[in-house]
Amino acid sequence: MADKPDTQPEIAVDPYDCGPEACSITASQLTAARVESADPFEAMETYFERGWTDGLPIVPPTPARVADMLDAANIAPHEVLARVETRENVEVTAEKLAINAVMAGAKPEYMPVIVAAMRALADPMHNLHSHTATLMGAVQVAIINGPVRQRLNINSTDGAFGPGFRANATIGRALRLTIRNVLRSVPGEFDRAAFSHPGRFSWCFGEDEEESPWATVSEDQGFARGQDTVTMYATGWQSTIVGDTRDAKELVHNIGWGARQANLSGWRHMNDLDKSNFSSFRDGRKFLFVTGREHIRVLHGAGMDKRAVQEEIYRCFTAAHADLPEVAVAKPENILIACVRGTAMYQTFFFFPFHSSNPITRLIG
Amino acid sequence: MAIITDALLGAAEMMKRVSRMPDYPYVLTEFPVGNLNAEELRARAKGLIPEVVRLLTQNRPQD
Amino acid sequence: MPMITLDPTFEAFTAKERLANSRASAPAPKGLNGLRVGLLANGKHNSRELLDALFAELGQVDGITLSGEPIKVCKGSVSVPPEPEDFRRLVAETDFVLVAIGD
Repeated sequence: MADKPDTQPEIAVDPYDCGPEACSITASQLTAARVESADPFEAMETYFERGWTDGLPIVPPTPARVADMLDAANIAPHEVLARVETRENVEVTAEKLAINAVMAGAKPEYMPVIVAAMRALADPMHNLHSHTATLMGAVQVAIINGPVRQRLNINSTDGAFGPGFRANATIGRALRLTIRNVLRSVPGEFDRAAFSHPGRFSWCFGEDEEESPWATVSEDQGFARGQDTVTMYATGWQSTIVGDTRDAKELVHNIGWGARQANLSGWRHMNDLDKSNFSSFRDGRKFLFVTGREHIRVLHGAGMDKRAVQEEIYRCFTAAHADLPEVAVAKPENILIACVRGTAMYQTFFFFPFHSSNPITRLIG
Repeated sequence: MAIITDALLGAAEMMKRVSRMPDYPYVLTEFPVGNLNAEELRARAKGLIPEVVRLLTQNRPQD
Repeated sequence: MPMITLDPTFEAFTAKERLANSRASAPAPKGLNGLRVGLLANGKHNSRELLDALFAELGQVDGITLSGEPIKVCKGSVSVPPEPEDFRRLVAETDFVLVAIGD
């Protein structure tokens, strides 16, 4: 056995050094510019100063952590996941997505979900450019279906829209940091939101498939139950319908007309879109309802399946009314309904769609 | 030649920069346009035309 | 030993080569008689009306004559590019294109 040297040899720092962590093959392939800092706190301050965070602290994206993220999704750093033609062909590579995912605080095992969500965002019919630039301050909502919810602890039960759940919080945040840092949806640059929205920090939740007797959002979008999917939905604004009636007919009427009221807009641009088939997004425009189990129990208990609820809401959206214009919904199937548990609250959320975007669902993994 | 409202100036400047056209000329008009009536719109157009002509003919590269 | 972390942005947007390698604006039309005009609206309320009004006013300017009717294009959505065929026509068949919004 060789004698132990008296002093540790000096380790050279080169541009591809991974810091104190070991370099993997993937780490050696990373091409993003390097930033040097004395310690994690200095790194975080540097990222704040450069405008690279959403205003909250970030996890410093070391090459080793970024490589772990990429390896967990089995994806090469240079793979292009999104390209936005209307922003001079800005590209989201897997490497840049992984860097932002690390910064968001995501675990490597979340990365396949984040990759699938990015691919959904990149679909031309989702029209990412529009709802990340708009004055309306639209929000990108990620809905997760399948067993991946249990594997990653993605909350679909009580409190699923709120803080306290790492997977929900960091998957949504990874997407939003990427939208900011890579796509330049930064106030003063491409983000021209007039008010913006707290849902733009992160909005990701699972659908409570276990509580719902109905087909899932993922099934409505053409996938099979049991498949892991992510659905990206762009919403302009949201409202809520609360009511503890046990009369299903009255309840669905309240939900439909409450949402119709929430659709009301005096904005001429929107009314132009509603009155005509002018928008190329109209046929695929979907109106998302997230219904708690208490409402679903009332509706299902009265024998209403999902199709019946969709048709009834469609009727509420399109019936003649003196003061409320018809909602620009192409067909009953464009009423999208997801379940979140919401124990003991007779509540349904309505997500007004961002008008120039269609929801897109992608398989995870 | 683009007509831009002053409310969207930041995005227009960003687009100039990333498009590698820092000298791209555009006509700036006051927000709003969308809720003007026909008469106001005609007056707005009349007011913008000198700038349209100026940017069309001046400070452009030789063919 | 310093800590190394990675840049999370699209670096091509801020690369020195990109900023140094600027593109020039289009040259001015060769003459102002018989100008062929394109009108490209983003589709928001009043965008087409503003362009029509601009076209009418342009025809009144001393020293400018317009060639017939403009080529009018309205995009399928505010946030998408014009259809390739519309884009081709605007480039091939006009001397300049006015683009307007309805914000």
